[in-house]
Amino acid sequence: MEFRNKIAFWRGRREFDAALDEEMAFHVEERTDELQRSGVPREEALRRARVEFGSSLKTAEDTRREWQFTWLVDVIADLRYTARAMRKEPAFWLVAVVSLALGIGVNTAIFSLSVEALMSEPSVRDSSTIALARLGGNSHAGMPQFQFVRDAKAFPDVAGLREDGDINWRNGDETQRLFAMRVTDNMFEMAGIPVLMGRGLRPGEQDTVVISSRMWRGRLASDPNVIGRSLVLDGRPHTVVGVLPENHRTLFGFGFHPDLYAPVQGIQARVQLYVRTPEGTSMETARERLRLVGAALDKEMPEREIKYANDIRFTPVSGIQRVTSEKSISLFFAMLMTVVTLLLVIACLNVSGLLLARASSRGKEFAIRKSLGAGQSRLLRQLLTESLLLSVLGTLAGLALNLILTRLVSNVDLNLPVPIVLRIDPDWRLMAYASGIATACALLVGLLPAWRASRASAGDALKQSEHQVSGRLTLRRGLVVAQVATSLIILTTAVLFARNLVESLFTSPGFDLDKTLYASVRLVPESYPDAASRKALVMRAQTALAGVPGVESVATSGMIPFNDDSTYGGTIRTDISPEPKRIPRHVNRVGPGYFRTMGVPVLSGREFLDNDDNVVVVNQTFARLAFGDVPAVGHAVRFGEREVSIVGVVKDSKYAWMSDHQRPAVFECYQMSTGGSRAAIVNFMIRTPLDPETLVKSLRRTLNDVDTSAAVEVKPMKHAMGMALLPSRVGAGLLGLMGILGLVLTGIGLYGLMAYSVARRVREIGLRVALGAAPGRVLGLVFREGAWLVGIGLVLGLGASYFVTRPLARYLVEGLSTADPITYAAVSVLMIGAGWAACLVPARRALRVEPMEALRYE
Amino acid sequence: MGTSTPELLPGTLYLLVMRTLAAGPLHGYAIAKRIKESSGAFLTVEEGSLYPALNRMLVKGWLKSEWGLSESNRKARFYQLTAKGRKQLEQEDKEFRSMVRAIKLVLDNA
Repeated sequence: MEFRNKIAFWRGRREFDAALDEEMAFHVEERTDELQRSGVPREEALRRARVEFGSSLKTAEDTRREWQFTWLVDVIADLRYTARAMRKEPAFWLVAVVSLALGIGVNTAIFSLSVEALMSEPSVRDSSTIALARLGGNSHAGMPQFQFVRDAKAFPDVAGLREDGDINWRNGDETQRLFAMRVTDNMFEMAGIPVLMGRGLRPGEQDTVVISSRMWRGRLASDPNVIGRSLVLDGRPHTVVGVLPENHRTLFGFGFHPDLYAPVQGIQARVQLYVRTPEGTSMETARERLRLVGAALDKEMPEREIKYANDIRFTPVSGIQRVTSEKSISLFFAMLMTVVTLLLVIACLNVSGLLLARASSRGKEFAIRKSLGAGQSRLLRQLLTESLLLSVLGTLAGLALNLILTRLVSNVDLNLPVPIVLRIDPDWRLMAYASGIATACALLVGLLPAWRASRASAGDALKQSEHQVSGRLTLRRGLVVAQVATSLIILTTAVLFARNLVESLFTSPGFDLDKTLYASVRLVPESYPDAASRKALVMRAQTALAGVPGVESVATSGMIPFNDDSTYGGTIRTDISPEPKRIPRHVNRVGPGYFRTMGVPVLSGREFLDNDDNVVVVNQTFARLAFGDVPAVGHAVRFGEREVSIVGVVKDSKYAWMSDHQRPAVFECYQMSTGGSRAAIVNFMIRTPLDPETLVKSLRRTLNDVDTSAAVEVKPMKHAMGMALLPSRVGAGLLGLMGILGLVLTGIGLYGLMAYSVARRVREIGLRVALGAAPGRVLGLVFREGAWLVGIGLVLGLGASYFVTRPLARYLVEGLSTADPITYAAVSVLMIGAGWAACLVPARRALRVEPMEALRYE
Repeated sequence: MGTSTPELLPGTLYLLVMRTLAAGPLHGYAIAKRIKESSGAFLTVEEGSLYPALNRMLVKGWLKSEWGLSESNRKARFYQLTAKGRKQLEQEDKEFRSMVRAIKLVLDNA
């Protein structure tokens, strides 16, 4: 009823206004007649009747309002008003929208990046019912265990995946190493992985592969007849049966992007277990089922060291649960998110400051509107509409920036030893996040000015001119101080990472970076079926390498420093104490001459010799933690069941990360491992007195001659630091950018405030100049105010940074603490410089004030 | 404008207007005058609230209006209770009386 009546009104609103005027006029006339009848003269009666009726405008307004969808009319009016304001002050709106766009663009870009890296949705059918299952705390399970779990029929389907498989592709006379994801033959069916062309792998197939779209477009030059094409992989022809779509994301996640999927080879392989849970089963039920399967497995295939039914882990492949498993990565993204949130806060404070400035110069306008009858809430809503519109515009512009930034990030080559491709596409999560951000910004930006406006009284504002309005700028000053403090936190983080990068480049890793190279050789596993044949090849290769002119020494190594890492956590026992100790340690297998080749000093004892058995070399930190002051050489250590004796202690060095600091390490004597996918990889460390770069070619040729089917990679160690420097590089790059952005935004905020402050004080300054104040004193006025603001912000910001940056210590090199004085000095200088620059223009404006003009200025 | 007349109890303006219209159609000025007279000049309805209130009741469908000629032979808008308005009046009348009775009980006895 009401709704229909209102709609009817909307159609006839013009007639309504006329009728209402007529009705009110009639009212006044009747009253005039009545007064006249009681003896009041006509003129006087009319006047009194009008006074009694009061404001007919207001009555008409109130009456009309009864017929309207009030809120809608108001919103339209607010928007129309705001649009007019925008046309009037384009500069204000431009600065405000650009500020917000920068803040929001960078913020959402990092959000997209974090979501993609940590929570990307794998390309499978119904990802919510797939989970990664771990039995007995092991990340991977052997093929017999896999088959047992699958055949137990506790779950609709179970498939296995091996993420770090390499495969050699013989292409012409070149052998290239490709990254292969090894999967059990039922994986494509179980997961429902969509393909762009062809089909997935099928059960029972051995020599088929599905290639990535990147591989197809890149190495295979978008061959239109790629399906059915034969590739020689690990010495055997394989048929390409399918091509994955561009946006394929693996079950493994983290942006891991293999070149191809191939079936798991052999019974030796170990795979991650992915299970499909029945529709509607809770994680708890599924975990319990898995535990029962584990218990059955314990009966069927008892193992001495592990109980499969213990430590059952069940991780869904999508959603938030993934995030918690990778602490270091998650922390890094948490830090990035914190920084960009701070950046957004700075941007919002900037706009808030601008709005405050505008609000005080709009005091008069608001006072007039108020005295014309605009309600308090009406004015507040006007202000909030403006800030909402601002933040919506800012968000839209920010999203555009986001698309540009994420496109850039998607195409960046990180130069990592593992293939990682982050494909960032805008999705609903980004949209949801962006709308949240927009709302938060609108509130953050609009609340202060609104609160301030609500306290201004109409009378005061009307009486004063703009240049006298409310002497205090406390609120805006507070905002600028907050900006200075916040951007200091970002700057500190950025400078810490930049310092870290520089330090990393100049810090010695504890071995000779400039005189060493590595050669990584991946053999075709089938060509070397047993340890003896592999050992023969290693010997042959080592002899050949040692014969290359310029080579001083060659040693085998299980892992190349900075390219690989392994940490063992199990407890140890020493022969000097019955107490078991927990010493988490880096473990590597290295051959004779390794330490001499790397230039790592042997502090006591000796290096490995040929055919050393049951002996280890440890680093000084391990020796100290395990034996205290007792010399470790000659003593025995038990790792679980195995007892070995220590033959040497070497100096600490860095193993996987530049931030490795006094990290315990144990070296075992190099042997070819008997199985697993790494079995086919042999690494050599090579020492030369010459420039390592000059040896790369001859070393590669030598190794190629030893086995033409092997994929060979030779690099000076100097260039192999990709992973080690990654946190510093990404940190310094991204954070540096944000630090600069924050500094600029803060500078704009400070500039705005100072310019405004000078403009307000033009009369005062003019008077001072007229009374003979020297230019220095005038400048002092401006700079002193700026200095106070920056100073307070500096103290607060440095104090906050001291606490906030603490968790970053884990990314920093030895000797660089989060309380680094140089960093703190540097950011202070930067901030003071920015503050000075921001005051410069307003100060010059103050200097140019003409006394006479200023006094006349009104 | 209203001088020192007491404020109407909230919500009672609708009741008074509808009660006044129960006898037959009236124009706005007459409604205000009738309320004033019936209350022994104690209650004055301000024009600023009367017309919005009348329109509110039109929107709700309690009243309808049509144009006619006043006693002074001027064109005027006459308001009239609808069936829905009559029902509303009955209900509000009942509620108001019990409220007054209750308040009176408290004032007398408490």
